[in-house]
Amino acid sequence: MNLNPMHLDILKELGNIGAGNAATSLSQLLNQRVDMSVPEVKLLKLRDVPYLLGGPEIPVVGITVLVEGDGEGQILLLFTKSSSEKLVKNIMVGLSQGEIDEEMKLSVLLEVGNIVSSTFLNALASFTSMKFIPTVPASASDMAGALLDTVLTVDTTENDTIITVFTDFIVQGEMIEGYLVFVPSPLALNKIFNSLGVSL
Amino acid sequence: MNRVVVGIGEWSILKLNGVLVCLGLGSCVGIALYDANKKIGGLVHVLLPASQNNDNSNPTKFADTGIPFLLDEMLRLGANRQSIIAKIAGGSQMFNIRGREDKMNIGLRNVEVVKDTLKKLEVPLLGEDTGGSFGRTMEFFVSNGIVKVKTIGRGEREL
Repeated sequence: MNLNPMHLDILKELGNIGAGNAATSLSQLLNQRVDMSVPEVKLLKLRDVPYLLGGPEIPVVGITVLVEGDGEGQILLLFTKSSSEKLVKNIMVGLSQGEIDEEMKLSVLLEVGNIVSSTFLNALASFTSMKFIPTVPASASDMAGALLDTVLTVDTTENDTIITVFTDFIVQGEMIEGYLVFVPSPLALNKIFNSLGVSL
Repeated sequence: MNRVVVGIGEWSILKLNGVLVCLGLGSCVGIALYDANKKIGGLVHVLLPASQNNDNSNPTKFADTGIPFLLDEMLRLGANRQSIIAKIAGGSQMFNIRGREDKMNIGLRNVEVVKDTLKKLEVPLLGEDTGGSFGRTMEFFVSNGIVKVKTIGRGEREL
């Protein structure tokens, strides 16, 4: 894939808008201020992707949606195990720890994934005038590398590099390490650039 | 001891001793090939079942091209074709999205193609820990051919 600095700037701007909206929606859900770092858009070697979050064996909770419509791709939202606990606690205010069971935690996290990925895609859609439809979300709790495998399979070509847009969220009071990884398929990426009048 | 981490789409070969490792395998499959007489071990970490075109710029990203590639490299380093055996791990389905099973069960297809490819190459499969919905770390000890599979909360297995 031949991406020049302008292509990367455009992707960074897309990531910025998308993640900004996602942070706002998370903020409304939590009723707390949510900050995010400037999204990074990276062309990563496949082998380096699992190291984004501190290594392939780090235990994490992941929520994913497949992206369909005018452009295909996948979004994966990852939280470290302890951050996912904090996030649930912040949303389920008024309930004691004992009252929150695993099933409840899971459905809260699925809803977070749903809201964050939908707002991310809405922003992307209005920027590009393309239609992006997320599937229902799915969640899993395991090694970071194992969960990241799934998004890497979006690019079935011989490319050894993959484009990721990722950002982290900081919820006021408590640091919640969350990462949003968006991987568009090569075809979707082409369409995104075309929609903006830029050729690849 | 020499410990080599084999990343996604990569391969490595060690002789006599050392450990070859795939960290956090999800739908990916780690394929260990071993010549016990010469103590030559190779490990390849594939992401997808089959390459779609003939551009072989990255053969070890795919099961169908990655296994023959590793086999050739081992023969070049002196391994004996007849004594090579295989052990595999990985190929799980980490997420389950209703109505999108085709897209989510890539691990299953990876394992199928790995087995087909080994069969075609007449390399006996002597051990496997595949499938399910959990991640695995695979350690391949070249001194004795043992493969250890580690998980989060599901213990450890030896192949």
